[in-house]
Amino acid sequence: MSPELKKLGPRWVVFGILGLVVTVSLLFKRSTEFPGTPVVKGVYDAVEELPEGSPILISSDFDPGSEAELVPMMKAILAHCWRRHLRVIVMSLQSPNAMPLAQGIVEEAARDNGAKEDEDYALMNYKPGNLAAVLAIGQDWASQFPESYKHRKLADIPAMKGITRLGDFKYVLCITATTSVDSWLLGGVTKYGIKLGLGCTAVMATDYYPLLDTKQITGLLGGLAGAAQYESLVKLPGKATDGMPTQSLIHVTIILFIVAGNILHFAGKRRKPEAA
Amino acid sequence: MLHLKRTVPLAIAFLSGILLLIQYFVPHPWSAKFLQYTSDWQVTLAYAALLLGVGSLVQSHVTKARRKAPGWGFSAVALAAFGITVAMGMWWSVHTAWQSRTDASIVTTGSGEGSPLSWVYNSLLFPMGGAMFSILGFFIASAAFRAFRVKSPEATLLLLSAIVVMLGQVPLGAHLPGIPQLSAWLLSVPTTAAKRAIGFGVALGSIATALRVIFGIERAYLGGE
Repeated sequence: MSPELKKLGPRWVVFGILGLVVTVSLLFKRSTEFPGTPVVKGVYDAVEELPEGSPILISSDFDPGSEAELVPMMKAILAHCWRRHLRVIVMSLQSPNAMPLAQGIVEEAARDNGAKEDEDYALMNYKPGNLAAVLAIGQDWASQFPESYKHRKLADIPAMKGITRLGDFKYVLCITATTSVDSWLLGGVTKYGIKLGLGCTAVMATDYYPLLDTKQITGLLGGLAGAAQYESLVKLPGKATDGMPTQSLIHVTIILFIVAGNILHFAGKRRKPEAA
Repeated sequence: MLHLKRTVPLAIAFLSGILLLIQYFVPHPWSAKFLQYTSDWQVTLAYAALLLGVGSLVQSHVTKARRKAPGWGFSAVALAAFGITVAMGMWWSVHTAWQSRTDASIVTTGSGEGSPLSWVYNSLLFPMGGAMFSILGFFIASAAFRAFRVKSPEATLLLLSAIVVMLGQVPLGAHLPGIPQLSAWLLSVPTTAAKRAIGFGVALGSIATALRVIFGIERAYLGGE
């Protein structure tokens, strides 16, 4: 490593600059609209095309660690679903920590959009087993979810009317920070022929691009940028849109770090032979 | 004894593997019923596996704390947090069970609104989870600064691709000519091609491993030598 890099490269300098950029950009709030790309529009169009009153299943497979990226995404999707008068059922394949978070998101979004519990939406629970759980609800929903998250019988939940198995859902959306989407693909898409949409963290997004070409998913929302694009499509700018200027600045800062790192590296290399 | 340890598990693995393999290609109601039963069993086993996981976690931390191994303090904190959380859930279950005797609308539960577990979740787990994830951005920046070098044509290509994709993922990139198109192309053509190749490799490997387990060639899951 060059002496310049040694001098300027301590982590705290990088952390300090990045921290400063984040803080300053958050202080000067300026929303930047991010027009929806075809990849994101695939999810939007699938929701838009559903007939009024159709049931849609959201698998909320993330815990508080991924809240910053996935909560704005889920809120925008929920708002879109209720605007289209769809019935939203929420469950989780991820961990017991996912459902309390999902409950908070859904209830807050329901208040904002005037949606009623058990009529416009219903919360189910966390189910372990990944693929096995998807296969089981594919055969019989009630065998895995005999009651809701709040212990109400399925028969008492109007939102669950006509739903006996996974195939009764017109669209399934997996919002995930794990590999749970693989279970939905293998069990849901391949075995039961469901239509699947995906929302995931930005670092995961590239892994799932091949599924777009094969039409195994209708669309893909990757990280905060995907959420901002969805907010733009539903014309409901929220936290994701607010976060875009900060994300732009951070990306530019990281690019500048890479350029600076290379300049210092090669400057150090050139000096070494001279010194010798 | 050897039968119970080796032959019986091998027979169960063989039968389960073969039956589920055949089931996938048979569209008969019996086949669907069989899948229903086995899926239910698997979910039940997954619950049991959760318990095993908790047991194993506690055991490893207890051993570490007892032996005062390096970092044993963290194990002690983990055990204390685990114990307190379980105690809170149990206490709230007893509390709600007691209340439900006089008020039928109250459901016996360890969590839910107003419960200590809900407080732990919202006041501790939520901010700590968010903080952990937010640190990632700082480490990525630091790693990019120290490791992303133009050392070879391949490394240069990788670096340029990364810059284009990073710009393509933010609204700023939408204002730069050609960046959104180039970023989309990088993600949907070279990345997809590479991911698909890896996917095929993993799938073929998984099939080979599954066949080895079904036919008893792979026996590592039985433990021992």
